[in-house]
Amino acid sequence: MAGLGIPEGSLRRPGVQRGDAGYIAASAVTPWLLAIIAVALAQVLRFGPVENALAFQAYIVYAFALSALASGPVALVAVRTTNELVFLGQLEKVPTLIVASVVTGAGLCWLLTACIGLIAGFSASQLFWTSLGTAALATIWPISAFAGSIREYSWIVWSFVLGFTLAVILSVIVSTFEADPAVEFAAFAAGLAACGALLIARILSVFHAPARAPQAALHALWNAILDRKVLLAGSALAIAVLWADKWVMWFGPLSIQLRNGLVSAPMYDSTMFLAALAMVPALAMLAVAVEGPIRQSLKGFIAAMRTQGTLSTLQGEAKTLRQQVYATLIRLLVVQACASLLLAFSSPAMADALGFRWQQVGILRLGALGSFFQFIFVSVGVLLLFLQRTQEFFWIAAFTLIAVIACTVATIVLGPQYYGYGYLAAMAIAAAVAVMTLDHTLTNLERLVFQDAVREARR
Amino acid sequence: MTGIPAFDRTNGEAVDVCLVVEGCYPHVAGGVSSWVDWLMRSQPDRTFAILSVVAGPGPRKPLYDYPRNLLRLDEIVLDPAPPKGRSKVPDQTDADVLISAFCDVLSKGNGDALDRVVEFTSRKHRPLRPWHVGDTSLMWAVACGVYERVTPQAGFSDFFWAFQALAGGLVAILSAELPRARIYHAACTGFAGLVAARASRQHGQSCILTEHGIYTNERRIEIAMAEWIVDSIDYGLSPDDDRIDVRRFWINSFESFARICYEACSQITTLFTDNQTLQQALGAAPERLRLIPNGVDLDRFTPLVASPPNGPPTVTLLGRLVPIKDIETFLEAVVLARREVPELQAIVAGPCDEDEDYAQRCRALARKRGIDDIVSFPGRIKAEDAFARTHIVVLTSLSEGQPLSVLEAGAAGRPCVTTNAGACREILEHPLDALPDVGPGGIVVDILAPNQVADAIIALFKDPSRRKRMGHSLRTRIENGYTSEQAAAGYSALYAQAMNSSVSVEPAAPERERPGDTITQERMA
Repeated sequence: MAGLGIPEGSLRRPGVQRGDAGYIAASAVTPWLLAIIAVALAQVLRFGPVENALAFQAYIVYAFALSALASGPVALVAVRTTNELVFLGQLEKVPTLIVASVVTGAGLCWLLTACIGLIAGFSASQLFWTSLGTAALATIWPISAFAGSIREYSWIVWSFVLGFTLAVILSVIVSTFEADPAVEFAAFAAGLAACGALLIARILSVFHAPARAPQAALHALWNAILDRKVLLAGSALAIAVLWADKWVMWFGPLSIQLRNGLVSAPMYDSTMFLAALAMVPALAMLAVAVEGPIRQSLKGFIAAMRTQGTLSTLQGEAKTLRQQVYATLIRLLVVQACASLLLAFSSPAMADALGFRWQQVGILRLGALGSFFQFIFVSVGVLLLFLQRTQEFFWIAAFTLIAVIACTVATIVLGPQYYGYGYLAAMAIAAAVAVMTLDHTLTNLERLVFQDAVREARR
Repeated sequence: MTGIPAFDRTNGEAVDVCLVVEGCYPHVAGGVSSWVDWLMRSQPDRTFAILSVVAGPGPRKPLYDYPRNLLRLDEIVLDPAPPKGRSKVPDQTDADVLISAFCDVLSKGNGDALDRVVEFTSRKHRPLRPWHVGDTSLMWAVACGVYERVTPQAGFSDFFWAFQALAGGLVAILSAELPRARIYHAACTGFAGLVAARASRQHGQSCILTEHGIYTNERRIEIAMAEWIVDSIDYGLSPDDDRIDVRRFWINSFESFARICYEACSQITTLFTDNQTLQQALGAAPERLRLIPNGVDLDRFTPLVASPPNGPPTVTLLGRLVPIKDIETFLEAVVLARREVPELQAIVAGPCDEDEDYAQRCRALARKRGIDDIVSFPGRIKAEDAFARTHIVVLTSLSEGQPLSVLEAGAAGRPCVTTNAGACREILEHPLDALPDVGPGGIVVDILAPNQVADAIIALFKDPSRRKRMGHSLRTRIENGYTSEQAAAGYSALYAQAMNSSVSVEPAAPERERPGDTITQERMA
């Protein structure tokens, strides 16, 4: 019999233990939280002129965007391929695939940074340190994705805590020498790379196998990418969605050009980063739910297929899964709504405390409300990927990216009083489309799974 | 992946006979393929087209040189690759009609229901195509509907794949373009038989069937032994349990296909009388049944009769290395026979590429049982070459039609040890109409009985005069009932009769250009 469309490999891991839940939640949000805290700390503790501080901040913002964009999609493809290799028992192929994907992500990131550096007019030294630092930063996303896939959540949390602490310490030390901000950034990235090194050591100790030739590993990765082009493109688009409004604003009236040639819009960026923090509690709960009850329900559905359940059994399991997903989403949306409203209502106080300008209060409020809808987009994306609905994931990501760009451009055209509305409107539309897509998927899950299996068999 | 390149040298004219074959000619050697090749060559005054029904897109390559009177060759792929871009499917509102039609075709063998499916496949607007099966919400609804009506207690996953194969194949058959021909001659029931039935029902063409083995029976054995089907219904010991699991669904569907084919064919021929009993049991009308045994070219083998082999005692199994030939039983018999005939040599001559895993398993068994030094696997070789050093021909098949290797062995004057499969007993033992009793042409044993095979081999080697007598008897039997000339005359008369009853030749649709036409035509020229 041909495959059933959903590789069982990703479902073979045991259910979530009670002690794991906290780590899963923490590992889902730790990198994000720590990044913001680390940047803030590095700003507060560092020495040197203010211009250097702005340049350092811009390097970090660019590095986070570029590293995620360059290495995230490759990581997702590699993690999914790894799951299949584990399911097929081909463990010897896993370590080299992991290393190849990490190196490929870093290489792409290095290339992208170098291009942007050249466009911005970086000096040779700046070009060297920033591309090196960004490439180092790019290694941690695939590594943490692999660590997550083998359920090493506690390792993720503690590695990140250690790595970010080291990053802050190193960058502060370098700043005392009044070095170029690019070198400070490289020191910061080195601290993070240490976290990646720790994690990869842990992963390779799980998948211990003799190393294969690098060409073979790259070839395997390339084949995996070709097999999963839609997943690669969809994840690249989804990552771009998280940054698109900011990128557009970098070329609007709020844009400033730093001495190193980079442009950014700190007034908009910092407000939106803060607004995005409203998603942290619900995202943590989403990670726990996906790894726990939703995974269990999906396992029930797959088991019904594999054990030759009748159609009514299959439909019953699909209904259970559907109810589980909806119940979880509703619960998470309540949490998200509370967090968003809390942030929206406390915007003036937050702005005061953080020294924001008065214009940023409105943007923060809209960002907080927008984060409610962005959470819907993110959670639907996660669920679609979990259900192997790559095509649907691609389309909602593409639609959302276009909506975000179009609406943000529209707000620039309409004027400063509309800043933030574009993001809110785009996310509201995207959330509606995402929910409809998820509902269609869950309502037709049996058909879609078998339909995919037929297509796979015909390939 | 590529299939066999199609070609068309008919210049738009109808051919005399369109042979519809399934899973054999021209890409599989031996068996029915050899018969197809022989049939076309034995009727040089008639023109032929071949419709070759195949499972998937390939790769395949032709293993036969096409005879001059073969003017057209096309493949019908049961699970073809969908075309690029989206094709429009029939409306969802048609689901109920399709559910009834598929239920009636697959579980009742209702020919009228076949016509209802043809209405969907022959529509100008939004026709139903094989790639829609399993890949559209309409056909998902149809699959679920058929499941609920026919096999509601069966495991759905296995049912889905069964429906995918059966309904997809059915739609492929019903949407394929048919060459213009005066007679449609199916070489089996199954999907090929449905093509002939369609020609008869849709265009009123004369349609005949020749069954070598009984297709439905072979599928029944295959499905009963299939490990990839999970038994989800426990029937216990109850013979009256009317629940249908996926195995029964498969078998019922093939029986239904057979019923539709038998109903449509004006003449139903087979190779030996036992088959006719099975055909009648599956609904074939007795008045349509005829026997035309296969024939063999005696001249090819006559020199062998005159010069029996002098070498070491040798037994040969001439056949494809596939499970249904049960080569393993032959090898076990060789192990046993060697104890009594220490000089024994064995040859397993036949193509190994149809089931390479099985061929490997046979070689491994020979090594394991310590007979790899006396058993050779030379692959596909000429029967004359094999028999030149053979004393006894063995056939251990689980199921057979009328095995050519036994006829050829007889033509070469070699006695046979065969299982009681297909026409073997009839060829070796039944009295001849026009002659006094000439004695048996060999020994018939049970299937899956290496001891009996070994005993028969030993007995024939221990008694050379009996062996010679049986070889001579078999040659006489072949001369009197199984020659090429007799078989050719039988088919010639069959075609003449069918043509007299053929009323019209349906005009063909405008010909589409096929990739490979030019190359093939050049090659043919």
